[in-house]
Amino acid sequence: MIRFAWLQFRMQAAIAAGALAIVAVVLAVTGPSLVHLYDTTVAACSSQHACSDATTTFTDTDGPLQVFLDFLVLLGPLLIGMFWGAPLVSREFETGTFRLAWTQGVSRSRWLAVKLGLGALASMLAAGLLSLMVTWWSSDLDLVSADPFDPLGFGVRDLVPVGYAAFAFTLGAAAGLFFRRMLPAMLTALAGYAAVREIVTRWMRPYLFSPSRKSLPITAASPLSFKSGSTGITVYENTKGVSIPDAWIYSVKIADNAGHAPTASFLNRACPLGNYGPLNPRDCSARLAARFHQLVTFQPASRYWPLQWYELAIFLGLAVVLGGLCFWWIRRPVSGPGHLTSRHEPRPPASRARAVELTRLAPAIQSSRSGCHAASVRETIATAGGACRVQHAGAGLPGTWPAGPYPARHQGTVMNLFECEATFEADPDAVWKLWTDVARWPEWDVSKEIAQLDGPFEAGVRGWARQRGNLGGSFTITAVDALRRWVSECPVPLGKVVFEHTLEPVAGGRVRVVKRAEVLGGAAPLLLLFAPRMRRDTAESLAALGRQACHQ
Amino acid sequence: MTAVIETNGLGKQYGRTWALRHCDLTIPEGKVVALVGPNGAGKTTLLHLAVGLLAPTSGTITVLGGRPGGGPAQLGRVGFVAQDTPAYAGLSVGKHLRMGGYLNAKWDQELAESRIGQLGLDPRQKAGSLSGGQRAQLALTLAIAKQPELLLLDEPLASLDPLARREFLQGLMEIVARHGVSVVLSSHLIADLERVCDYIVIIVASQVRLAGEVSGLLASHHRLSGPRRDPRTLPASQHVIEESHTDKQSTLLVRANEPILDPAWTVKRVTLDDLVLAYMSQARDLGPARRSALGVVS
Amino acid sequence: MIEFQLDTASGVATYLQLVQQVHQALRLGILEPGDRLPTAQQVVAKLAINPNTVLKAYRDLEREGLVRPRPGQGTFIVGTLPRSDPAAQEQFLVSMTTWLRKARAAGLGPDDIEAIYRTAVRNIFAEGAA
Repeated sequence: MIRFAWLQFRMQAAIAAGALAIVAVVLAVTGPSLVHLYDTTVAACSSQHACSDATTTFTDTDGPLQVFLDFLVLLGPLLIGMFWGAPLVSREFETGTFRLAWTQGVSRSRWLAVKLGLGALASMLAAGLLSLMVTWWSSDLDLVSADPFDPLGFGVRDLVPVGYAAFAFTLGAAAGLFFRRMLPAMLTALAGYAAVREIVTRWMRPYLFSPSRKSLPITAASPLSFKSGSTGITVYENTKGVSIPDAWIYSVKIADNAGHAPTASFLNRACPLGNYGPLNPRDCSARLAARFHQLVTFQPASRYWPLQWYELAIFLGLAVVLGGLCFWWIRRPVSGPGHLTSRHEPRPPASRARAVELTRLAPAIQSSRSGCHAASVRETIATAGGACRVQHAGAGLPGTWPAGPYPARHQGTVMNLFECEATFEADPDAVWKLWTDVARWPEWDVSKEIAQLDGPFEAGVRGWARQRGNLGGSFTITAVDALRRWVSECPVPLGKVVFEHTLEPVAGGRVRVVKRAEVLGGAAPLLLLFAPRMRRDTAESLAALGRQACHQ
Repeated sequence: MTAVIETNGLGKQYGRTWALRHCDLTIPEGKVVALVGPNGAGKTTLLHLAVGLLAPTSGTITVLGGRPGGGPAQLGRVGFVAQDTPAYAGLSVGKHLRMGGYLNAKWDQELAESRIGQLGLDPRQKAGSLSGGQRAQLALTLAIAKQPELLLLDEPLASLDPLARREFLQGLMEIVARHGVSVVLSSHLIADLERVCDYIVIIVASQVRLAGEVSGLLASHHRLSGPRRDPRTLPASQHVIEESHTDKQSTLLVRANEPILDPAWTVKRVTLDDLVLAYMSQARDLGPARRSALGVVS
Repeated sequence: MIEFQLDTASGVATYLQLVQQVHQALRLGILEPGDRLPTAQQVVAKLAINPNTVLKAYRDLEREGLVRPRPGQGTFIVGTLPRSDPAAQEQFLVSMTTWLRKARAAGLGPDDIEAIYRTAVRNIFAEGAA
């Protein structure tokens, strides 16, 4: 796992190494000359005036580079947190590679431990090296000018950058594990690091060690400032001027042995103010010095290294806590629904263009005789047109013509005009009765306007009927097969039309009625013209038969 | 026969939705199992549960007799290829193989290298620049070179063109023939899997609708066509899976263990494609909340 | 060595297709006793089918006495199919042609003839379970 973690980390390490190398080169080039300058000017200076000149010149050397280097050490841990820590785990979530990594032969905890460990070590090493180089390069400059306890300055030297880097790295990694996205992790690393650093600098560092106190006499050189307010004059000492070298001055108070500050009346007498301050500064200082002294609260210079170690420990401790949090989080089930759907989800293609007709059967397929389902009648009407088939000369439907007495064929053409059928729920008896009650045809059959039969419903009996839109004509019943079939003929010029009506019960309490028309004789082709109309009428009349039978 | 995956009332819940529920499976070893279902049905959830990327909300799951994802030994027995075959874009093919060697105890580097060579992949090419088919082959190589007993593949064919799909299946079947691994392959396309799978699990709307050996299922399902008939008039031993009716004709897909003797029916065989579609549409009609009344066939 | 094909649209089970192709090869002389059948691995590497299918086909062939596996070496052809006499085939071709002429004269089309043929074959050769 270690080797794999290194495999993944190689590129980032290379970039960091490159950057460090460049810095090293720059420092190696400019460092020695700086040292030389120091040795020849500042260290060797004798008089006050020459020294201050030399100092100023010295501290201005490579000014931009100084700023840049300090900036680099300041930002280094932040960059580590954002670009090494944040992507450590979040990148694997974003690209889905965690599904590859967590199904190899290493447990999640070990995977995380190695990645975190390697990254943290590398961070500390990088920050440490950088800090080392910059501290060395700046050592003479620091001697001369810098305040070692400067809030910012403290953080860019010696040990603490190592702690900062470790903390920033683990903060980024933890954020990455929590958010599972790189951008929120980076932003959290940025904000979190800045916040914590600020908090520690302002509210922890000053209280890590209790400050020392010291009394110092007020001298002519002490930088006193006077302020004239509503209550009179008050005096302050500028902490910058206190002559305790390299110490961290917290505060300075002017007080007498009892600890009281100079009263306004005393100050009015001792230090009368003009436009630009005390009228007589030397006398003022002398008078103050007689009764008062400076009470300084400060951290001595010797506290520098302990503070560095303490702050290092704080940040390393924070890093460990964050690391522990990471291990606790990694045990949670990680791939939520958002991770399941891939970003480019393939559309499910129809594996076959299939017309599966999932018709729900009408809930009331009633087998009872009474009651007729509307669906079935509607069905019939809907299929009325389709339920009529047209055939022409020659091609009969094998097996569809029931056996039985069949009208004798004329010489010449026999043509099947059409066949219409309908199926509906009804009692076969009732249907037969309706169908064969000629006189009542017009009651339910819209297409028939008048109908009558000259006798009982038997073979050989004549009748007369008028279709709507026609002149009407006679017909003869030629065959009757009770409750099953009846045949009628209508004379037409040069021949006749034979209608065969059949009735058969089918499963589910339903009845199927069929009407076939056949033309015999020479006028057959002419009848074709009428066929569509006849078909429509027949279909409708069969449907009507069904409806009527339902309502019996 | 030992089971490679055994689940008991397995379920996974996110907030209020159940991604998988009431899952009872016993998948025998030595099979090529097709895990079929529409997108979002729960196939990926099941696979992730089997491989330890997810923990169950209810029920239990046992893989090769052990807890999924439980320790390096268990992880080493199961090979997994996730959907979209994730790979490290910045690492080359060769480095991926090295990764396999670093992370897996039983790694066969020779097998992996010979396979990569056979497939024509350049070991120096970065994984980020591979085509979908090549990445799928790389992922399969990584999964197989660790010499697992069980291979779980999540929609490996989804983003492959037909040629790549064919090559992937050829390679996979060759691996099965050579090493005898059990394979569970998920897809929402049944056409690809028909020729390779001998066990099928259908998951629709987060529940298992059907599970069983393909030969047995095809033998016990029939397509009946005949005159229009109310399916409730069929004997109880014949379960209707899918029905369609015209005014004169009924066509039913039934599951029955005895032969259909009713002369009114024309009985035809059913293809796997028909079977899957029938169960998928039946599940949709039943609705996700109702448990499949037909249960599990094994 | 024989190379298997797969017809996915035929509706015939895959393993049965393999068996039939071996039978066909034996009939045509492409395979002879002593020849080695491709390994399951070779077959599936080309056809992308389940290896169990190949093994099932080979087991069926073994049961028919046509092949025998030799451990470590492969599956070898050991038997042949009975080949029918070419003269008898010629004789049946003549009688069939005569019959076909009569059928056509009676007005039967190719589909009718096919239906009759299938019914007759089914009746005569009781097909074993698939």
